[in-house]
Amino acid sequence: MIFHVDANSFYASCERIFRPDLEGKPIVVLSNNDGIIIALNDEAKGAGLRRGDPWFKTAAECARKGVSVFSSNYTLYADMSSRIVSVYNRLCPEVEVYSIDECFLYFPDWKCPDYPGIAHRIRNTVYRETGMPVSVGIAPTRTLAKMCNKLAKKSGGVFSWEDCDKEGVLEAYPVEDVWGIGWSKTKMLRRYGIRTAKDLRDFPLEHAKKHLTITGMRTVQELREIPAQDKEEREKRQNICSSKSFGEPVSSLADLEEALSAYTHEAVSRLREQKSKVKYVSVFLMTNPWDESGPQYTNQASAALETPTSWLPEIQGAALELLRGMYRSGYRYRKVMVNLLGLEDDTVPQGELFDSPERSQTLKNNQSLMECLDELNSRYGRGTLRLGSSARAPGGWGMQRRFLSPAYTTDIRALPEVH
Amino acid sequence: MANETGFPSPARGYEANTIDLNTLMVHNAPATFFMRMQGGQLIYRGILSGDMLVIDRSRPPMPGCLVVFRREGEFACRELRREGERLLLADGCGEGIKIDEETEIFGVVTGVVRSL
Repeated sequence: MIFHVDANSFYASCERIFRPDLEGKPIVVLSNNDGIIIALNDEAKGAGLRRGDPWFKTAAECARKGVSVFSSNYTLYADMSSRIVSVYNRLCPEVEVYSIDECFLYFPDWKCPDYPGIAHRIRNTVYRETGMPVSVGIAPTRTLAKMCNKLAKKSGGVFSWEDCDKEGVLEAYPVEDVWGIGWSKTKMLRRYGIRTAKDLRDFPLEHAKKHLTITGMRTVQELREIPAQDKEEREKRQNICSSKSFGEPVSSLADLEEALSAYTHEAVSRLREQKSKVKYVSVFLMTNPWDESGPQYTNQASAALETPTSWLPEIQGAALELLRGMYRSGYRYRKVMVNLLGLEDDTVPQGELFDSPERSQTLKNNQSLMECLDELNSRYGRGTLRLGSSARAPGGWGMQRRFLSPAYTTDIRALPEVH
Repeated sequence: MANETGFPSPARGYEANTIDLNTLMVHNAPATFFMRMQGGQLIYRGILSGDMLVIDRSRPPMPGCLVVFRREGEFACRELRREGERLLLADGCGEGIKIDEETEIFGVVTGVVRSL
């Protein structure tokens, strides 16, 4: 049985744990460089704020509504994340860390198991020991477990597929919220009248394969309770895509560039994690097709890199170049996405047969610099160290972290005070 | 690999790590947090202002324990005391705070660190 365990508003919760004065108050966390809101708790959502809102636009609103604002403190988040993972590892034999705040826990299929009981125990233990609220989704496949987790967030923290009204749940679940079904797939599926997870489950497999590729077909299988996502396969992806839809439309090139740089960095981290290099970079830019009042513009461009690489500056440079080429002013953009395509193994040192010794040496140096970057980012959390160009400060270089909280758990000079 | 020449060291096989205070102070690492005491409320228990408190969230709070809890938007530390049927959070002067629904205990103090 698969448990998907996800921390509730992870970044905001990390901040709240060490600020007893913020209990029950709205909290938002900003991206590196204080660009956009990247995380917020339920109270902040209730105050009308959205993930993706640019900070300069919402600062006044936050001040008016008494919202506490934090720059992202990856040192703190990485430490809290590792604490939670150690608790999971103590309670479950097989733990797969999926992201900084999400894990899959695999339990053997026992004869008469009380999985919800185990889930409650995990939840209570993590909360008692670390202060972090988590939710648990329990299902026979990863896709369903992730869906159950979303439902758990609204129903006491634990949701078990086996104990629910399966048909009713699938019918009420929008297809765009199914794991792996992104914006473009949703749009395509709508043309076939597929709006809910139930519709998708009943989509014939051969159609799914044709229209959604092999990944989409696996999603359909997973909705039918057949584990189809193989961990190995999933980890070794053929392409890596990173994007998010903006909560508020974005119009300026500078804002799009910043978002794209952040997504490229995330994609390249994943690329390097699976020890691949990339040959093609593609960038996708779109306005909101459901917004009928505004003019529409959607474009996609890709470029081949000189040689396959995992060198972030080169990949990011290519992505930004593509974005600048397709950007048109006067539109309200909803989404920018970077896609790394044509991946291959990065086991041999890269380079061309006829490369000069200088170029080979440069490549070797680049390799060790990237390894250093990866090491720091894996130790202190993604985004700790990034390229200068992705840390665009309005009015100067260097990262803006005006609302950074202390490293409560890792810096002896920054301990919380007790009275 | 270093070359070994001459006689092997007689201490070989007896190497030990240096003393690690974590093994003394930290029993459950993911649940252990450190905080800094401000003020002299706990002098009667030998805790001075500026001392570092070791707090274990996994340790069940029992009467007699020093516990850190949330109060009026701050962390406070007091002794958990039983008084008849009731539990109180009390300081050295015997002034007690009643435990109610609002009281959230952060953790139990399991050690104090102080440099002289």
